[in-house]
Amino acid sequence: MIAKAALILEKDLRTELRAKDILTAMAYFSLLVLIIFNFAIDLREVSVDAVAPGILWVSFAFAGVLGLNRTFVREQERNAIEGLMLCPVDRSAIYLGKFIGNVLFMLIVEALTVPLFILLFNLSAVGFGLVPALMLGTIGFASIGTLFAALAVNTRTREVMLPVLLFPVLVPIVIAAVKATGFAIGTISPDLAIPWLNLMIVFDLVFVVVSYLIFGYVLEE
Amino acid sequence: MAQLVVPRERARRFAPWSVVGWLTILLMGLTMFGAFIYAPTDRFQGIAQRIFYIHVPSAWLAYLAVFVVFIASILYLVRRSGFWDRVALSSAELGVVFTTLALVTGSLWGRQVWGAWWVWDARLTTTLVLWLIYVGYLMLRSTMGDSPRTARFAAIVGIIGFIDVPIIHQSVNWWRTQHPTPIVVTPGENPALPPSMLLVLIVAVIAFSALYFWLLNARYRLETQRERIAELRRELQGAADV
Amino acid sequence: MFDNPGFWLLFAAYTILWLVIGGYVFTLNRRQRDLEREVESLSQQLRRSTE
Repeated sequence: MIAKAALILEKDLRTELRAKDILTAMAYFSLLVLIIFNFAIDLREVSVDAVAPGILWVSFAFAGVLGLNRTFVREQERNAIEGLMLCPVDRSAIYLGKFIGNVLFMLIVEALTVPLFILLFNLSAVGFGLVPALMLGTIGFASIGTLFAALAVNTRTREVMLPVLLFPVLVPIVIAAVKATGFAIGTISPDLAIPWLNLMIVFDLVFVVVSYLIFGYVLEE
Repeated sequence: MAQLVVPRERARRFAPWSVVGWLTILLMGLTMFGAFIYAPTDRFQGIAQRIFYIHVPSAWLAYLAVFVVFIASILYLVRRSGFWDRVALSSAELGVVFTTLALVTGSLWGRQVWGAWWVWDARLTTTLVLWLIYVGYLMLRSTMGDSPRTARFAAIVGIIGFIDVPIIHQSVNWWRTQHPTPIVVTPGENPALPPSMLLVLIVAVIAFSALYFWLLNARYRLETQRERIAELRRELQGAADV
Repeated sequence: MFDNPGFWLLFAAYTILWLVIGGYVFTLNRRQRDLEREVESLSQQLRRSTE
């Protein structure tokens, strides 16, 4: 099971690292969002610390949707999804492989964006609290994201359908991740950040398990 | 309220539903009487407080409807019967209608109580997100057309959406309480609702529930009709091929 | 009564309620009628083609 998921993950990672097209586009896009926000919000007039976490997560959310949209497109375009399904692999293994792949891609993009973010927004103190905030937020994002990407790729309006379905259900993750990031840059005290981290843990657990169980119903027929 | 057109030969089969229909009309009339005449005017909020008798039942129906979507979606995935899929679709549509009503009436009431059309109060925000989720659900269904795949995908969204509701509520609740709370009377938390007001509310909730089941049946019949048309089309195709 | 802002809010809320419910019932009714017509014409076609 785990070995099979790892196989799918390895296949995706290898194709991606060879071409790098999606990763580059995601990183470029998240940087672009950060810069556009610099124009949209005059940072000389508002408190940077107050708006920065929100801007960071908007940029991750958009870049994330971009990546998620491509999750199953390769298989779809080359009709390889049938191939994937014909493999003696449990459908849930496909989910796990794709989910871990999406988490890794997003984390790579985040690792590239965060230094630029600190630089562009002149943030002075960024604590290690950022690590759990990014990890938990990204896992939550990719959990339902991977499931819904598999649905959306089968619709006529796939690029539109994914954010339409995904963003409303991700509201708790966005709020919690923004708050937890606020803690990392020192706008929220630690005792206020703990509930948000707990909320993200609950969200991640619930939706990784539910998506894992339900994924088989997407790839039927 | 117009009686829905029922083909004559089928009219007798749906007799129980016309009973629900008449009961709905009767109870809704009683609700209107209760809300405008029987219930006393609230001393602090004035007559706008009477919106309460339609706002709370609308919100209740919205949540009932999405709960039915959730159950019907699970049953569809387990049993694979078109019945549950049609119930889920019908209930989702009603869910959107009543969520919209809850939001609009809530906004009008909020104007009186809070002095603002919209506040990012926990309940309001949860209901707004709920609305977004189920509008997305209907959009998914309408772009995909009728097929077993659509039914499966919609069921998945229906299940995920409902599981998300308590988490959304919790997150929005904390998100708001970390801000200075406006000094308001939160709807539903009036410490002591006078018995006459409570009575009208109970009647209203029963009336709206009857309305829900009546509309659900009407909406469901639409789907069976569409199924019938698809069947006829197939037969016609078969006859042409021969 | 009419210069009470609460009155207009109350009026708007109940009007919208009935408009939305009435409108929904109306569209259901119309969709049902259209579908019935379609069933009618399809079954006629079917009868003709099988004869």
